Amino acid sequence: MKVLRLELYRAFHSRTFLISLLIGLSICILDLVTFCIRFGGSGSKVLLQAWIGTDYQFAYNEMFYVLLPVLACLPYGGSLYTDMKSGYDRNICIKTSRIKYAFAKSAAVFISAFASVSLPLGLNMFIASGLFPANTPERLEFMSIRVLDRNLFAVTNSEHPVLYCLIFIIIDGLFAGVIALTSLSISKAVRSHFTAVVTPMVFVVILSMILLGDEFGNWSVMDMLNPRQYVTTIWYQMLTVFLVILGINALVIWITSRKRAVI
Amino acid sequence: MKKVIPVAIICLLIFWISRIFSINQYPPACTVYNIGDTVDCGDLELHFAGSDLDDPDVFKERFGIEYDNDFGEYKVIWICIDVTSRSDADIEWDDVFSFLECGFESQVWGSVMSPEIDMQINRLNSESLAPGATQSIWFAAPVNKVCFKDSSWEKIDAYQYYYVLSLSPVKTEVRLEA
Repeated sequence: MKVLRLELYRAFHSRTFLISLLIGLSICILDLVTFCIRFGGSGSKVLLQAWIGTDYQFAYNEMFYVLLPVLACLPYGGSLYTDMKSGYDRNICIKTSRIKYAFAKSAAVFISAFASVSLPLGLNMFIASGLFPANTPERLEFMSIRVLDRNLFAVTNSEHPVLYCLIFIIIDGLFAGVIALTSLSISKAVRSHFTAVVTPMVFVVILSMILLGDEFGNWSVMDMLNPRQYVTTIWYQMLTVFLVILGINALVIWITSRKRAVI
Repeated sequence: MKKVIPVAIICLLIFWISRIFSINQYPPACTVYNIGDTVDCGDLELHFAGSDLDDPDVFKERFGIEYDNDFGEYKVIWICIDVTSRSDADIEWDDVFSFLECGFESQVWGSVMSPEIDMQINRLNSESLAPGATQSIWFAAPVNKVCFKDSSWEKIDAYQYYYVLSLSPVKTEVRLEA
């Protein structure tokens, strides 16, 4: 589809995608550098302690996961707003249907958000893998995250730490994609590009303050995406939240795409 | 110049991937003993006499103690180690306990021994461990249901548990029978 190719090209060649990637990479590299300076010479540290997703010792993990909605929405989330403001969408919709344009835009937003979150996490893991072995951290040292049976992927964390990291990189990327779709669905209601990009983060932060988790589960997006798993998340909660966010955004995007007249 | 950068990136990738392989070549060593084994540790000889994963009532009856857990449903895992002194001088109990105590773990759970339980279940025969003397020492820890999924808790006895004696320089642990 031509319009999909065009939207993907615009998404991955935009300045905002580069800025988002640089912010994410900076946080990840700073965490790794800080970890190496603090513990690098000890020889007893492992990948699961050094990777930003499971490194609880510095603030960079929290910083990354609080900023995750912004990192997701910044690359291309506000593009629908700018297209509507400039009239670009009307030009496109002369040559293609509005639904196809909305689909292409949504796909580009999703994929660029996935990339802007997963690439820094993946690169951080790749670099850390060359510095620290991928052994299972000793539980009784209490110097690593404690993933118990109640948490997600507990056996994978114990037996295949690299796979555990990869699973959460993919999960974080997928959630980044659906969170970025929120920017699209509110584009008609906001008055600035900045608002379109930042509003999903506000939703995530407020909901995380309301939906505090306990040992029986957790419905907060911010907490369930963090591989540290300091609150218990049950698998169906993660799946439900993902499908709800995706469903609501898809519905709103579809309705607003149908209703707006081209001429 | 256009060809140099991609080639340099590829070389760097190859170097880094080979580095990843090389640092993961030697997994950490671990010495595992079984219940019934006897280990010579220089001044101390350890015999791993027994272990079990008890229901709370069974545990309280076995040791004649009162213990309640604040975290809901639980079981108690314990190990008994017979310690014999091979030294010519008395060994202080602090030294003996610091040599032995670490914790329990399984694939998806871990806990240090419970000082509260250990204080109640251990009866020391003397002020210190005299040369040639033997003392049975028990270590125990609660296994709380909140750490496990409901489906896992139903087959909690099927997990393999270990008592970890030391983490460095080489990890040493005892495979428990529960």
